Amino acid sequence: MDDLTQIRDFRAECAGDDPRARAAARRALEARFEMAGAVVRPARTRRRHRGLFALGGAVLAAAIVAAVIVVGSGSTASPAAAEVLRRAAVAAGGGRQPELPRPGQFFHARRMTVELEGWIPGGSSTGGGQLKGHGAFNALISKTTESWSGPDRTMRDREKMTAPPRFLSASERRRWQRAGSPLPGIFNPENQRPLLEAAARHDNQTLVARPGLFDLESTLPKGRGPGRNFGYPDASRLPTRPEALRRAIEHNRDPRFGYTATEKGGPLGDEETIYALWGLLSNPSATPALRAATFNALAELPGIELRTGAKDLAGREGDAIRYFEKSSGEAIEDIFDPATAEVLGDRWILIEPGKSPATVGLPQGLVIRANAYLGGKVVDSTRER
Amino acid sequence: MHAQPLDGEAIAASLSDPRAFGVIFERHFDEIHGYLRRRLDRQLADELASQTFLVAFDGRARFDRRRADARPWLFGIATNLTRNHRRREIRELRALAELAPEAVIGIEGVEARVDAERRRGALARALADLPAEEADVLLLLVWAELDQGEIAEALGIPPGTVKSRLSRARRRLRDDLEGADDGAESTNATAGGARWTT
Repeated sequence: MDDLTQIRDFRAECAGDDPRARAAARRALEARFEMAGAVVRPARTRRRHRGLFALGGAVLAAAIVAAVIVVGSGSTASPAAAEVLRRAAVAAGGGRQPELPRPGQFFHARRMTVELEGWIPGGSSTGGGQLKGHGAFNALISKTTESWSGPDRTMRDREKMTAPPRFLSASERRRWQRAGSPLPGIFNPENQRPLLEAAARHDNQTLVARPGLFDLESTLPKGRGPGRNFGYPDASRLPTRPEALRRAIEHNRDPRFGYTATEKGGPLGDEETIYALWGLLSNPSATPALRAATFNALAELPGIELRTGAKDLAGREGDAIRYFEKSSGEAIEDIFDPATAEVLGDRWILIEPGKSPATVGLPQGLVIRANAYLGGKVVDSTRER
Repeated sequence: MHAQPLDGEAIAASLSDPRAFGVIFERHFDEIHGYLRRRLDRQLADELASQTFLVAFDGRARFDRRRADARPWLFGIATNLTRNHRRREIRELRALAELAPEAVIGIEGVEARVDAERRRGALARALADLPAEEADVLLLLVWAELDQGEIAEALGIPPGTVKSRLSRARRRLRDDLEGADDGAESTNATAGGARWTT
């Protein structure tokens, strides 16, 4: 074996994909995008988007230890999942055509989120996992996220902390308090300062940032606007036959739909396809025919189980399809109303702690992230809800 | 589904719409992170992979947008960032080298594994002993899979310098590995008997 071949093999096992590192880096880059004068609005906000938040002094003082959220076993069966999905497809097919914002209008969407966040005081932060070292803190963070987006150049994103951070242990909470209760990421006032200064220099940005709130409205330069897709991937060209839709998603080349076949070096696997299909169900431009095809396509995918009586973060009850993501060791539950086929929420449950560095030492059953999608509608201004 | 823009096109678009740079991240992050992860410990690799894209984004106006492929540029940034951490890289390599296979000597059927582990340790030591500028060229060639012209572009050095550094690095490496093989044979013959000799 020659020297180059030996080097080529050396530590090759370290070079695998690391979704946690990717998510953290993506978030840091998104913060930089914002500083550069644009809001990043990924198509789906489940995995890669990491919200921005802060919390007030009163909230800080009231920090409490989290009651760790642990899921029950539920009832699961693949044939049952397929049956429920096919019934949901019928309901989805009978739904209303999407109402899309016209010029001068906006699509306003709102969601609740609880997510395990890790942050290094005065430095980087990440969602969906813990950070270790450098005096990092880790806690469950609750927030609401609102967005206004339309075909014109103006858009607004508002995130608000809704509860104190919930630490996984009392000792962790005390350590955080002793350190002066430093806030995570760019929601730390120390980190907000350069963003406020940048916004003040640009007449196309209005930023309200204070403890507990991050609210940015920005207008893109003339001649550049999101157009008819207003921040969501264009779903209008996707096929509405389930098999064809699945094939299109498996060979997806548009990163706004989720993973791309290019980055995976070939067709997407089943887990990645489920992820992308679930994202389509929340796309404001998805027609009833596309949503029906999406449910039917999900019904044909292996590895999906059914969990009845699932509750989303807002306490709404529905059915959930559940699948296991091998790379992260997490089970993902996508919750919907079986009668109306409306998406309610989703959550990530830690099944195999330690599958990635971000989950080493965490309790099995911990809900790493949960969202409740609280609906969206067309409004006439970025001040209207 | 839309055709993906070339790297140069995406970077050009990102000057007026910063979000367009997301394509560059999605396309190249795993490769950059994998390269750094092979050179450094996990925590530092994560940090530097993230920094690579922040530095690239901040400096995107300087990218030659006629180029279709941003990889040499990104690997160049990543490699420059590792320079400040060469000591940590060496520490990591020496730690790997310390994971010697002696503990399993004597167990049936493990000869091949022991041999591979021994070579791995020797390789880690040899890489740790390389001068930084030679290690950069070698690892960009083998791990980043850049050709010599791309390495020159990545590091901002003439192609002739790439060639000479590469030649020196390979010579050092061969010498070190041959020395390690000689030492291993001698040690095995003494400690483990004929089974460990060649």
